[in-house]
Amino acid sequence: MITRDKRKRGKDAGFTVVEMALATTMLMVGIMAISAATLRMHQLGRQNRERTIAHNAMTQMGERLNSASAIAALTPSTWADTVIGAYSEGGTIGNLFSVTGLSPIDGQEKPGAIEFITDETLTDKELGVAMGMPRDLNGDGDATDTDVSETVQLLPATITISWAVRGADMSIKHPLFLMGY
Amino acid sequence: MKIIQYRGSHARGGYTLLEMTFSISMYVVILLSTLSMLKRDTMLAKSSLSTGHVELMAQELLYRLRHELTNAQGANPEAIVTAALDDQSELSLRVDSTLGFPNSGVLLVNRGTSSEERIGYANLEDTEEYFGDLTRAMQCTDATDHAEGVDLIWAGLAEPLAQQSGLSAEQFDGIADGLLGPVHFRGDGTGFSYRKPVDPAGGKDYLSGDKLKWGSDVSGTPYIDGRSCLVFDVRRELNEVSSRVDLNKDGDQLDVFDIGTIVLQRWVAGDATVDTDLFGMGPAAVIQERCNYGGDLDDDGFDDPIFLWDKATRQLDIKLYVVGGISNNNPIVRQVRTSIFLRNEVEL
Repeated sequence: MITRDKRKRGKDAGFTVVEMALATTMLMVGIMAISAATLRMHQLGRQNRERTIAHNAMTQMGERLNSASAIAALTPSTWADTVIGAYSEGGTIGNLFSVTGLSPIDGQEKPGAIEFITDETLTDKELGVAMGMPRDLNGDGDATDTDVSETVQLLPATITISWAVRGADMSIKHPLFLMGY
Repeated sequence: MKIIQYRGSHARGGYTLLEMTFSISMYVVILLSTLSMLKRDTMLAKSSLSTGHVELMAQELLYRLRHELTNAQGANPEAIVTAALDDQSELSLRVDSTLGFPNSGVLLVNRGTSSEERIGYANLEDTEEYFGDLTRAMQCTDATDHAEGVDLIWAGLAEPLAQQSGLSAEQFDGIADGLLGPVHFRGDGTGFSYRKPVDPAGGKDYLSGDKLKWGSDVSGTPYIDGRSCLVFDVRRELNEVSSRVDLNKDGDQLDVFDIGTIVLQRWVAGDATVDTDLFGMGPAAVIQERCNYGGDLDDDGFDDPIFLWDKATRQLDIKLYVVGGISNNNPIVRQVRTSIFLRNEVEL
């Protein structure tokens, strides 16, 4: 008598549909996992690229501010006025700038923003960057003046780039000092 | 005799044709979906890796350029023709000064006129007044006569015009998208000429009084007459027709691109006995459209010179389009850009 088990183990037995379905299902699960990982990798690659664009744009604007500062310093008496006047809100150039490849977050006009710090009493914590604040910005020996825009000699500024990505908004902030040299 | 009825559920019964057809169909559908998913995943992974690689290449190149130019002093490779040149002459071109021009390169003569011509030269004569071994009618221009007194620039140079509004088309070669708005410029923007602080004695004393000593290291020796430039150097061609791609997204597949690298040249002005140094600054992956160097490469309506040198603000804008791996039969092109404020005064 031939038993069922013996037939299954025979060399001509092959696979049942159930076995095939199970194997295929497992294969599908595996491939879907790979697919999800690939998609995630793609997203991370994109985020990485956007971060690189943001860093490059920040460097670019930093260099532009340094350039503007150097030119304005040819007339030392109006150096701070010229720089702040040009790159502040409502100034001849303005404090906001576009960055090709990045979309502004909801509620913001452009991804890039420049801010000058003319209050000596602000702290690093309040500014959200490490730049050794509060400190003496106008060379009068103290760090208590709340508006040094007319007399500033060392002008701190921050460049912030904020951009929208799927799921979350990204932002990086870079501090720099301009000097009327 | 007992008749045993043959039943489908019997261990040796097998399946009906209908069941088999249905099962096989299901299996084929699943298999095809799986294969399609695998194919898509493979392409996506390949594309991600290729893109990442290209971006890394571009960033590395940008980093090297920044490192090289940090303490540089920008030069002005511009001159005036001092002896008329006819359309056949290939011997030499006389100008007021060749200072700042690389040892070999391309000149843009009579820019913005019907006589505009790009002339290649293979050497500079030691008198600093002649470009030698000319190649006429380069980069899709025609050989024409050039009168004494016309101006010429090193074609690598691209500089913003002092006047930015009310310009007619022949007054500028392109409009770049500056960080703060459109910038009208002249030139191709494929190079940048400069000097660096040197100590001719080989030490670290770069000052002469309160002034810096300018020059360049050539073959490891610091020369006060040494000069440097970065220039786009063509290595191969990418043809939209044969590649069947629209690389610059301008709606056709007819354009031809030069793919090359940025090369650092160092030479000694007025001394042809010292060999010119040549260093590749990165991979041969930078693209420019042939016969339209500095032109639009991403169909955003703005031109894309590699180097845009603003003497007035001492600001050098660098924009690179780097071509890399293949995704969906399309070469991947990535743009990286930066600006460098050259702290030192411009060479007069």
